[in-house]
Amino acid sequence: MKQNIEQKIEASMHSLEGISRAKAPGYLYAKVLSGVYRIGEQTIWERLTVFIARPAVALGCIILVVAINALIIFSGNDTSIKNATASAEPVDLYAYDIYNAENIEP
Amino acid sequence: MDDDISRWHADNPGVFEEWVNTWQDMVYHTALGMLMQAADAEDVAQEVLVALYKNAHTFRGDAKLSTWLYRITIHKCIDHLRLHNRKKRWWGTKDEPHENELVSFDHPGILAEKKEHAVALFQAMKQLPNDQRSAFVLCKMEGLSLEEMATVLNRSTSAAESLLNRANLNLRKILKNYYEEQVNIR
Repeated sequence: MKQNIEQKIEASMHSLEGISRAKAPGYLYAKVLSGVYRIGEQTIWERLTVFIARPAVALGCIILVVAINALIIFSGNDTSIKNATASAEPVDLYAYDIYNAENIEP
Repeated sequence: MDDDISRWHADNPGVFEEWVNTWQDMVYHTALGMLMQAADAEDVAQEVLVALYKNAHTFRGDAKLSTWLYRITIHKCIDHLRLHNRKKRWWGTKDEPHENELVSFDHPGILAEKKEHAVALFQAMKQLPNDQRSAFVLCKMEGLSLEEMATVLNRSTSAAESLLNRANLNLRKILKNYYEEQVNIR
């Protein structure tokens, strides 16, 4: 049984010997020409899509966005806290207003 | 269209058609060996020959045109396989094979008495990593020497040889499992 399997493996491994080249279909030249004419007919949007879809461009855009975010977070961190503190008005819990005036007991 | 391309083709009428007639079988046969699907091989052959049209004006004949075409064909086939695998990952489950994979591949150029064993070999080739599959196709189907294969795959001769050895070893393992399973089923 084992010998039989070995024989089959050998037969499979040598099955490509004497292979002849597969012929391309006769209409391939016409198909190629249609592809060639399509290059000339590409609109600006199609070209732009192809450009944006390139992995290098896509990756570059992601890195740029991440870098801009990092820059904003790390460079503007201190000033934003100071501004926030400065702009916060002190809250007076005992402020006298019209509602208190109405509730004053005689 | 690019002016250089148009000018080159205007100056060399009929050259492109001659090139296509010369190289189309080689490109198609390589793509068929890599993809094992006639329709996909046609699409890749079209893309490769369109790339030849676009770049014909830059080709000065310093390198062999066949080497350049083999390289482009292998790259486009690997891109095609990656795209196919990505689609399978997103749109189909891992265990469920692609509908095309259920049909065993029958290469038209195989000798009649070897067809049965070749079907098993092609099924096994589908499980090889892309670089090993490329090396095996170039060497066993296209009959390239180790040096030529190394040039196409952009590797040293020893690296190409080791790639081919690994492909042979893996194929034997896969075939062994396949035939053992066949025996168990019976």
